[in-house]
Amino acid sequence: MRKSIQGLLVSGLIVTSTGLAGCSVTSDAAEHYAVSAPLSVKFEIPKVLKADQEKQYRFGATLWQDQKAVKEAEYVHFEIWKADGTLRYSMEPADETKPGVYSIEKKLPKEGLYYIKVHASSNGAMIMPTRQFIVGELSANDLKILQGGAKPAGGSSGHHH
Amino acid sequence: MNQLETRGTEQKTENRSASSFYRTVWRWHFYAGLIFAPFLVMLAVTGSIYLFKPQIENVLYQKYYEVTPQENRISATAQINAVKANYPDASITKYRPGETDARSSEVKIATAEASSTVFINPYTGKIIGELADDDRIMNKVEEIHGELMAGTIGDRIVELVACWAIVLIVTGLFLWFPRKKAAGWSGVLIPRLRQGKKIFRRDLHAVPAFWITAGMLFLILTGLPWSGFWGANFQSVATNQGLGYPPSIWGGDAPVSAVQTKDVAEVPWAAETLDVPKSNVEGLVPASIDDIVSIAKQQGMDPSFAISIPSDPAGVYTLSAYPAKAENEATIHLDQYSGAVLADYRFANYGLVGKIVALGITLHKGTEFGLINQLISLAICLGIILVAVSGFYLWLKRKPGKGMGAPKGPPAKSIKWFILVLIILGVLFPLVGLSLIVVWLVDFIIIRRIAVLRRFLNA
Repeated sequence: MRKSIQGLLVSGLIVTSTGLAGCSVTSDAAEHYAVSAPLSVKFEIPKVLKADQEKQYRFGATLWQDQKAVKEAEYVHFEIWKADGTLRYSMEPADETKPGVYSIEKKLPKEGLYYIKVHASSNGAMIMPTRQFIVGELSANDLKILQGGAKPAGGSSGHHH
Repeated sequence: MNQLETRGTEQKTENRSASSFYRTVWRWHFYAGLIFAPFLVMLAVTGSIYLFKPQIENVLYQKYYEVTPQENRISATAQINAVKANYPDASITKYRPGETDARSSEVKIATAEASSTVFINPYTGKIIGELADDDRIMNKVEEIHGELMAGTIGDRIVELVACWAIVLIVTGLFLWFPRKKAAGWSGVLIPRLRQGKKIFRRDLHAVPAFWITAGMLFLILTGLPWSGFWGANFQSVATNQGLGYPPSIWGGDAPVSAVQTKDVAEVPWAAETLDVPKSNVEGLVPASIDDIVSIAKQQGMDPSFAISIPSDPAGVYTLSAYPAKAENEATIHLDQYSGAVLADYRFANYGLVGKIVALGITLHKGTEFGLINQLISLAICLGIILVAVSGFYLWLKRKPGKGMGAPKGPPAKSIKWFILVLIILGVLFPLVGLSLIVVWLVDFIIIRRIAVLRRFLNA
């Protein structure tokens, strides 16, 4: 009797202690909790090989959410500035030129390193990605900015609504 | 044999079996107590100190924390750049803006050797001071409390102590429970002061032990989920079932920034020329920390939030806040480039088990209800110390000259109910089970074969 009880005790305990060890969080566990539907944006940036004083260039942004283009977003604003601070187009609303595609037109009269930032919101989600692009050739100063790992100076933070 | 005699014999057997059960429980309570009481005292002492961490750190680190509010704050980016300039070799892992206007901001830095916090005046950008993690007294106290300063092994020992404390509570309650009916509250709920030293000594252990039982059990059960073995497994199971913390808060991974490497702007390294193709330089750049701060505010994070800074191109900015009250907790993962909310986990999004565990943690730490919470927890800690010490004293006074003074162990078949309770506890808490196996093996292989030991332990 004693032996059998003890045997049972020992084997039961070994089974449970080894069975419990090494349990970890599975990769799909997040699906059980609040799932977000983040916005994403695809930039269309003109390839400009040489600065032009007069020409208007079209900048586009396609807005996505849940793998669908977002039509009639709450707002889509663009801002564009030059890394060295010598040119700046402040935040302004973009036009929805095609369903889900928002664009503005701007002149690019100077060569060098530029940033374009889109502020967009739809269905309570919000994004503000920044993309780096080059017009013509980079200046020595631009290279320094790039190598310094400096963050785009002068981009406006957040959104004023 | 007449009827009366039969009844008499039955009564006797019943009494003997009841008293042998009592002796078994006593025996286990006795050994478990002797072994684990020192650890329980240590946990209670360090716990009592750690309870008052907010107050203690406010006094200790006042010169780092306090700043005089001014009209304009400088940007988070500028603050971090100031730290980068002073610590060029360290990586920046975290930024904490400070919960009030009079609070400094903090930048967490890490080198290969150590990590520390740099405190900055957010109005001037001046560095107030640096505090290494290893120099924080409360970190040491926490290390003793959680792992006896012995890493994983220490963590498992503390867990084992906590689990065995449950065994002590269960066996102790049984021993405390009045065996005679109508004995009144004396010696049960009130200590008997005038019935001799022996009885007083017993009551000094058993009566306060009963009073703190609920509180002690509460501290054990709320502490166990943070333990490395039982806790980690328990949390993983709960998270996987959708009942616990969402992933990344305790166990599991945070989401990743959903960009392809080719879309991210490359940083050229050569000093004078562009050493990567221009098209590689064109691409997304990480959102600035200023953007992340403003998103955090728009998301309504508790003002005590901190921002974890990603360390690789697929990483995310993580906003996290663990304020005094569990209900205000939040963890939000943001895309490193667009600032999009990839996962928003607040207290309301925790599963039921996660909510209970989170609330248990703030209650255990004494922050949920502020000072009252701290004082109640302190009283429980002091009670644990009293009960451990009085139990030890009780043994010292009762112990015979030779031997441990443990009650004799009866044969297993007369205590099958007790063994069942042990099995259940052993299954619920595998470390208890594992230690039971060790106890049984030691008993079976060593003690039963050596007469001196057998006599000493009264086995």
